[in-house]
Amino acid sequence: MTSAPLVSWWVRLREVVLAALPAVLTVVLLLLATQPAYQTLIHNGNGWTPYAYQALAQDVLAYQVAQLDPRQGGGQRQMKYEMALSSAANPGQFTMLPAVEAHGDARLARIEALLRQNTAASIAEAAREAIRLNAQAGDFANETRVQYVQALEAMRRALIGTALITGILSMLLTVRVLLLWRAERERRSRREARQREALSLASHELRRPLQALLFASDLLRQADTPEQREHLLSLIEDSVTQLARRADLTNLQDLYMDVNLRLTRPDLRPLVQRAAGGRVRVQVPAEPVLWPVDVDRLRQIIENLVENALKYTSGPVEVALATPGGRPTITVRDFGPGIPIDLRERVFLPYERGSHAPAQGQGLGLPLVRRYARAHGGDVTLEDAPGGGTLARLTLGEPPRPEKGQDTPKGRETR
Amino acid sequence: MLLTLEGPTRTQVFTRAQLLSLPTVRYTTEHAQLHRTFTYEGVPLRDLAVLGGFAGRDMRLYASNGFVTTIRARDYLEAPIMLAHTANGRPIPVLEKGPLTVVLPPDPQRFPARLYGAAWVWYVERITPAP
Repeated sequence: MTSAPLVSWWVRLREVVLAALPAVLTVVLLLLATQPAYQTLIHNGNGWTPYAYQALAQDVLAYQVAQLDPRQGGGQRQMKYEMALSSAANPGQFTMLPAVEAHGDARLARIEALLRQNTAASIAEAAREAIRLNAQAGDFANETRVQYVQALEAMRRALIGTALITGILSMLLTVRVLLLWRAERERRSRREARQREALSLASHELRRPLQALLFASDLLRQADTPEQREHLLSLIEDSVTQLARRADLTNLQDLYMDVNLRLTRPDLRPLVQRAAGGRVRVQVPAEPVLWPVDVDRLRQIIENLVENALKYTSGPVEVALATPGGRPTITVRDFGPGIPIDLRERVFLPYERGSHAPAQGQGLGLPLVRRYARAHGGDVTLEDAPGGGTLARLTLGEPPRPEKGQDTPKGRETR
Repeated sequence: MLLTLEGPTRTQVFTRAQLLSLPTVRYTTEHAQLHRTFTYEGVPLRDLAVLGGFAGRDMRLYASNGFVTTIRARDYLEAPIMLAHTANGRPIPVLEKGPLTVVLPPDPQRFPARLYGAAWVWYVERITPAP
């Protein structure tokens, strides 16, 4: 009994996970999508500009000009020299220096060495070297820019992809909720239909015992002898018992929908003989016919078949019990106009009735008969009787025995 | 004469001695480009902006090697960014980006190197408000 809370806990967890899925997926996909661009940015010096290289070239050139310009004093010239040297001797201020130097022959250390020689020729060479290093930096900057653009484009694609995926996911989740809602609605409507059908069948099956009860109690007033009264009282008792058994409102599903039989092994002959009287003639074998049946359900089967024959025809009705091939068969034969072939199966569907059916009646008797017959491992069919009329044939089989410890049939809805 | 401070109304010129006589801030930090640690002394940019008559406006700093950049008023008003004239008790040589160089407080959260590298202006010679 611990499995039910476990299942409900699992279902709840599953729903929460499903609800959170788009958000989680979006975060994960966006983290993955932005990672390449972020890595490119970090890898390429994180806000790197080629300015330091450009400034070095300018400072070296400015010193070279100062050397040539007679208007500049010695102090100014020295200051320009130190400015150039302060950068050339300080690799720390050149971001991504190894990467930039990998883009050509120019080297910062060489510029520093040439500056320190401090001759007109070495300064001119230092200026050329600084210009080349600056060009390498420009080349590297260009390559970096291409990488940035590629990373941005990849990110853009990934963002659109993420939006698409999460959008589709959200749509699927919405569709799932809609389907669940519709399935639940259909389940509820099926349940309600079954309940309505059970109630209709119960009301249908209560009619006969009620009529018998009214009839017997009416006759009881005029009964003369104690034997008559005794007979009528037993009729009343029987009707009341039938009423009670057919109208257990807490158990309508077992009685009418997922038929649950209460099996005994009686002699079938008296059950069939009950139908005798009026236009009804009954024929039973001489030997007892013992067979596992639910007595009340078999009685309802016979009542319904006989009632139909009486209701739809005005001639005699013949009921017979036989055991061809060892299986009990009960036939109810009338001498009416017969039933068209195309109707013979339809009359077993609820609310289907023959074309010349009387005004009263709901078309529930035969469907119930078939349900009970099949619950007994048999069936009921309609056929043409030899010489005209309709023959209803009820065959009984071996009713499936309920498994031990199982009160209700499988597949039955409990809500 | 080391520094020209141009305000909206007047232009002032400062020698080293005059700068030393101004209010001074002092802290130790690693220079963003030299990657060496100095104890810097200098005039807070905030005081220079007040002197120039443009406190609250962004500040534009020009260097003698042609470099120029702008430091936002929010930065120099809230943090003691200085125009340093002394490092480790001595005037700053040109080889160490002197004689006047901008120094930022050691606060990597507030002034991450990748965003504020250009604010370390070397060889400062002129300051004006940004238009």
